[in-house]
Amino acid sequence: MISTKRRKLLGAASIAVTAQTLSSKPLYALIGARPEQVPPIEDPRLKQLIDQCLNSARDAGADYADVRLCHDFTRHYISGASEGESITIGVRALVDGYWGFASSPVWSVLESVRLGKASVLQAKVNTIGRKRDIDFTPLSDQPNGHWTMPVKIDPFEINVDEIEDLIWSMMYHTTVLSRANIGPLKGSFYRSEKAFGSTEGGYFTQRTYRSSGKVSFGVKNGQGGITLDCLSPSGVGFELFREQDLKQKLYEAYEEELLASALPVKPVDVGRYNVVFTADYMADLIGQTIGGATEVDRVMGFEANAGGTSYITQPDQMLGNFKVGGDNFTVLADRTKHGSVATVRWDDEGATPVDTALIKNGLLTDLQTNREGAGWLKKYYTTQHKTPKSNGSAYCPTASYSPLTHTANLTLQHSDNSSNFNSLVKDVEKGLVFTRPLVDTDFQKTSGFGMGRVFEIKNGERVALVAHAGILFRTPELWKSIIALGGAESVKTKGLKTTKGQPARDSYFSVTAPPALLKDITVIDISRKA
Amino acid sequence: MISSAKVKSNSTKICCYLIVTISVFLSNSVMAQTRFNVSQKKTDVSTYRHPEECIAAVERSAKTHKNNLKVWSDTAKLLHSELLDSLPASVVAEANRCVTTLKLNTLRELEYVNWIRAYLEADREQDAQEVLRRQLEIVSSKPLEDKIRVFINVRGAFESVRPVSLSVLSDLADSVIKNLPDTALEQLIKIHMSQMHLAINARDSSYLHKEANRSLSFLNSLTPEQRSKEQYHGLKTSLANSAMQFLAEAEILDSLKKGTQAFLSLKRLLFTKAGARIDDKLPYAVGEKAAPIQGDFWFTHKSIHNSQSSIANYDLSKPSSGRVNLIVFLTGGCHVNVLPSGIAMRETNKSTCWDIYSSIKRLKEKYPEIDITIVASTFGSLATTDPIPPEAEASLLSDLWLKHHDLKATLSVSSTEFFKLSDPDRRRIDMSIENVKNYTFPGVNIQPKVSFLVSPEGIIVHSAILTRSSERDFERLIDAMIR
Amino acid sequence: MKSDIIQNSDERVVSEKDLLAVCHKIGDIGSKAERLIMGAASFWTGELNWARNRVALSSDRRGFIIRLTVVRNNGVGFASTNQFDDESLEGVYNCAERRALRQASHRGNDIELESGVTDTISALTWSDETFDRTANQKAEIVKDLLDKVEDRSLTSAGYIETRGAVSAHFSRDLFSKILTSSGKMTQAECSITVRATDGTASGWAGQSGFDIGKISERDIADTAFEKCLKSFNPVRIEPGRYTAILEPQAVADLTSLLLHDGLLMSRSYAERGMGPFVAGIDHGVQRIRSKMGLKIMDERITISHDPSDPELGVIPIPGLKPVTWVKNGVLNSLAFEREYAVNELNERNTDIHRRSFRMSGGNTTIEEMIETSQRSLLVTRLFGLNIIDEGSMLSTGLTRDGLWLIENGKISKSIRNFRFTESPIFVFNNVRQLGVPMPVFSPVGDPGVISTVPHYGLQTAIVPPMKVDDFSFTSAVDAI
Repeated sequence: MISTKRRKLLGAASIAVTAQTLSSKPLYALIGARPEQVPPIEDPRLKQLIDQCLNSARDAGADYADVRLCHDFTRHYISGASEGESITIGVRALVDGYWGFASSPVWSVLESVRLGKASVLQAKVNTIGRKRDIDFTPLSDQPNGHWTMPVKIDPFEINVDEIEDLIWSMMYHTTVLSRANIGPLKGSFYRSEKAFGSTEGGYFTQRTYRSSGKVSFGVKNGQGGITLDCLSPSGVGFELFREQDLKQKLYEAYEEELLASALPVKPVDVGRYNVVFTADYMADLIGQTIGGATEVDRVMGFEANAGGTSYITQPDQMLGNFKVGGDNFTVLADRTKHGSVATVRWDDEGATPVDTALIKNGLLTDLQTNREGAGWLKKYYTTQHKTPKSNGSAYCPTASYSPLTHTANLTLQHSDNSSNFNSLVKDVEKGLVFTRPLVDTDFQKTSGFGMGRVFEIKNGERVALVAHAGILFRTPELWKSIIALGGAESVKTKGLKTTKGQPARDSYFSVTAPPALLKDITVIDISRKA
Repeated sequence: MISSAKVKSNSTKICCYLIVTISVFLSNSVMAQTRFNVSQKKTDVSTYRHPEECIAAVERSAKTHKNNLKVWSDTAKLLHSELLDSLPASVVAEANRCVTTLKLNTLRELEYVNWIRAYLEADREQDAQEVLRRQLEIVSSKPLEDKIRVFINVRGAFESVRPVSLSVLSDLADSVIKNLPDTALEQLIKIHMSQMHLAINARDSSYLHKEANRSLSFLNSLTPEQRSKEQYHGLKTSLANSAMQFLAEAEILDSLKKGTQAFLSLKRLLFTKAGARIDDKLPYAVGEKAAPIQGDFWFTHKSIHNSQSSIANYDLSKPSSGRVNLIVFLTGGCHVNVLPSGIAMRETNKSTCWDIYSSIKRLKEKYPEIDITIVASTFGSLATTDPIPPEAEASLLSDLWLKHHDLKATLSVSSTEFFKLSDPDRRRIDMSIENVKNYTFPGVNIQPKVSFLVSPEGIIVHSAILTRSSERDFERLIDAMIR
Repeated sequence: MKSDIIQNSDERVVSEKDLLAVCHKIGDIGSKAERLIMGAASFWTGELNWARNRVALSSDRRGFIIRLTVVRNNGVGFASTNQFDDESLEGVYNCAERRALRQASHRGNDIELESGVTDTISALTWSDETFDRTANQKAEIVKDLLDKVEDRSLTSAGYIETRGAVSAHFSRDLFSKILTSSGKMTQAECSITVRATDGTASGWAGQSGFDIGKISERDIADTAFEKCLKSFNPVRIEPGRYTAILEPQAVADLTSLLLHDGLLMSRSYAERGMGPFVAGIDHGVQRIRSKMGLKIMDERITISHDPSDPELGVIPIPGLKPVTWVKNGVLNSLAFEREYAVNELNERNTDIHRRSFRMSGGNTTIEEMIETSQRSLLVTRLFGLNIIDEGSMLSTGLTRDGLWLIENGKISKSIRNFRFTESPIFVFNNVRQLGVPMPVFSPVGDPGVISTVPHYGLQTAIVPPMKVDDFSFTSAVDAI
């Protein structure tokens, strides 16, 4: 029951709010209101809201402005079950080379007008400083239209019972494995609806998805919990669960664990080894050493006060000249691959993503860029007879953040032969296998270390588990040590999460990589102090 | 720097915008509202790919069905045979839809167990039998342990499905018993034990007789050497005793009508026949003297409902001599997660003891002369509420049981004494409760709903967890003592 | 000034009264819920970000959040929205209720109910100066810094943020007893990196707190500038065990390994036999004992948190009381929530986990630590910390933005960074000298999180510099 007293309070508040809405308090517009339900992102009326905002920014003096509207949905099932929905609007304005940004949770004409104005004023305050040169490279085409990520099963449109039944069934799969105990089960689904418009005239809407899950189990007398590696963040819908044979994967992981737990455990003998890394491990190594390191803003020092910089210290000189790896090391960036988590039709500046070879046969050939970042590389692109333009790496998680360059999907080129993890292991007379990655790099991505579950290989067989083994590496040396890469059939795609910026924001990207055999890797005892 | 004039002109422009945009969006000045829409699409189990998903779906539907039954704690029907209850037709139909599209391939590890369960839930026993046949074929050349494991696992699957198919389980037991060599004595006894327990739980008297007889003939067939094996003494005696007690149920009840001594003598006789030694105690505390119930706080149904009546006016020596007494332990789990919401709202069937209230009520209604004592102890806190003093907690308990559930009983609440580990640990270590100590016997541990039937002479004649299905045993024994 | 007009002429956050009214409205919608716990917040952040000696972005961001926990039929459901309109409030409640009923009727899950609202304590967490700090003022400060850096042919990146948040908490328990609280807080952070343009030297400094008045951006800039200048031409020295002078930031980074993880710091985790604070089984009472009551570090170290400590600036939230985790080197308390308090301790008060802390110190200055060193290393801060072994807390990480060799009481040279393999517990047992505790830098975190669950989001720390023996540096690192 609402008490009489509170009724009065709320009633009074509603009246006051109405008055405030028309004055200078757009944040209050929602309180006590029953506004129209937000339509699907394709609704043309949203463009009007964006146009109001752009007009306001333009009239306030913006040389350029772009606006994003975001409507985000999150659902987590079983373990840590929860649900969330949010609505945001953000405006970015460019004035005399300086950027300003303003964002809010309120979608109203009043607020969008205020935001347009505010973003320009935020930009203008910095024009008191020295001149800032910016080459805001043009788009090839202005974005136009709507795109929905082609998922097979929209997790927000099917009955939740179907989702829960499938995730819950993993428990029954485990109960029939005599030595297994089920651990946490989780399914997470995310849908992002974005509308974008800019003063250049582009306008698009797009709907993207991210799905991920966790299926963990332990094995009696085994070593710690096992988490299936096939449910990492992906740009698909519920088919992540429905179309993979999770049962088969669970059995495989279980059998792998039985095999491992039957092996003797020996201490690590530090030194240099030939090491086979699983596809899963390679994905983490690529993500850590190539992902952030080739983001143009990080290279240019824009992250120096946050996550750090890059080993690519002089892009003008190093692009086209610097060997990141051996001849068999080629890494491509894309935001177009179906099922990958960073895939979009347009990036958050309206650019159509372009597939880019970042490293070709070991040679650094390009960086991941946004519109401004492509301008910083003008000199290099000119020598390559290329027009500088964004390859579509701009991203912001919601409209509450201004876009930054974020890592795209990465692909480590596989070999042309039919090698796979097992055949790579078979070829090793004496060496190690690293699985279950835990990889970290320094703040310049120059060096790093890796831990995980490590096996000793003798004459092509895994013969022991090695306790406390870790690797230490320098990025270019690591990637010059590849002796063999798995073939097309052996590649795996893994979604990774990364954080950058001040304030920090998360982004996701997929890495597709084959397993690989690397020579002379420095293996240390991670538990040994100096 | 920008001049103030320019700022002013900007303000003017904002005003212009307002006029224009408000007119455009007059009916639509704020467009925001998180939807939290729920998909109305129906669950399509035909897209499921594994029997495990079907099992999950059935589990969900069955639970939903059960929760939708408006079973109130005080009207819960007397249930003799939950094991034999069928799943609702709609759930079976859905289970059938689910498994129909599945394809049975090679089975790994214990996968057949899930297939059997899924088929049984879909009422496709033939398919389940086919899976079993395949599995038995697979293990035909394997060691004995593998075969036993198949039996145990399949049995688990059959038992987890409602209704339990007793005939199939009986056949299964037959086939395994036939195949097991005499040397697998322990397994053989355990299989017979399981069959006996199943029979007891299912409350199917003909099945029970069949299994009891089978068990006895099995025991009779043992060789002198097997009989003398000391390590199986307890198991054998227990099996024989259970079988004989059930076969002699009518005589036992008759003996009780004659008096507690006659009852105990017959029980003892059967027990000895079953192989018990002279110093072996009768199982389940039967024949033990019921210790006086102690309590720091006492409430009676009358004292609670009559504010004029003081607790001092009541005889609180329980069990009361000269009457049939039912002592019901409603310990920790019965109220910690229920109070005080159990009073504030209708109790859900999630709480541990929700179904006992109707049993207590029915017994009291049918036999008003019995004296029922509920024995409880304080916990010191209720779920996530603040710690509460024992007297307040005891008072809440009497509100819950004697007032809210209207149980015509005496309530004894002991304050749980505890000491605390020294600072900074400060964890409480509970001291044992006198009533619990006094009523713990070999094979009988105090847990929520454990109840003791005490004769007018103060001797325990029966103990069991009082549930809707075990209620009948109490009823028969009370009947014998009273009528 | 123009941005003052836009920043201050309108409401950047809604009032406490309005937020409480929103909470009550959800309370009315959810009258059927057995329990209802919610946090609502309205927040504003003003940010200035620069790199390569130019401002890269200046922002004004506003947000709302409602996080709701509903208990129905003993099931628990969680939902959140950032919209305050009536339809959304109904929507978010219905969603959480739907989730709770599903949990109750379909399957169990491992959700634990958060603590409800209990008492509130007042704390000084609001600074008008912080909330009123304009983009113009920030721009002016940064302009001066950048001019200075650019004139010395160096390059700088940095970040200044000020924010204000209003929050309200609401709880209705099983007895229909409603408890509410509300409060407001400001937060400020400033961090600056100055680097050689060719990337061969780097200096950093930063500070955060609720009151921008206590944070001197100019001092921070000077420190980063000086550190950069002193870092030129780093030399490589052999890894090994060194006496290390850890600046407060490095001490805070190391302590965060222990203090930031709610699991490691929880009583129930230790009493289940896991983590660094397990002592062993007490057979007398058949319980696993934690190390509470045992000495785990140098007796000069006390680690505590008092929510009313203005320097820690934690918004007054329910259930947050002063706690001393380590008292004179003895493990005095580990975190526990309400359920543990009532069930295990038969007590009402909780020591819920929080990440902000104060560490006691001494009175040795860093200069004195240097002067009294024969051969040691001076460490600015640590980066990329990972725990290798939970039991011993053996961890690895890197030094960053300033590492020097001290010889014969003087800084002798700048050296290349190291990877270390060390346990904070070992380090805090080998303390030789302690300095005066001071606030350090910690990113202030997501405003939506810190406004509704500030004990989780806020990571402020007041720590001393310390000189420790035998710090294990295991390998050289090229990164600068």
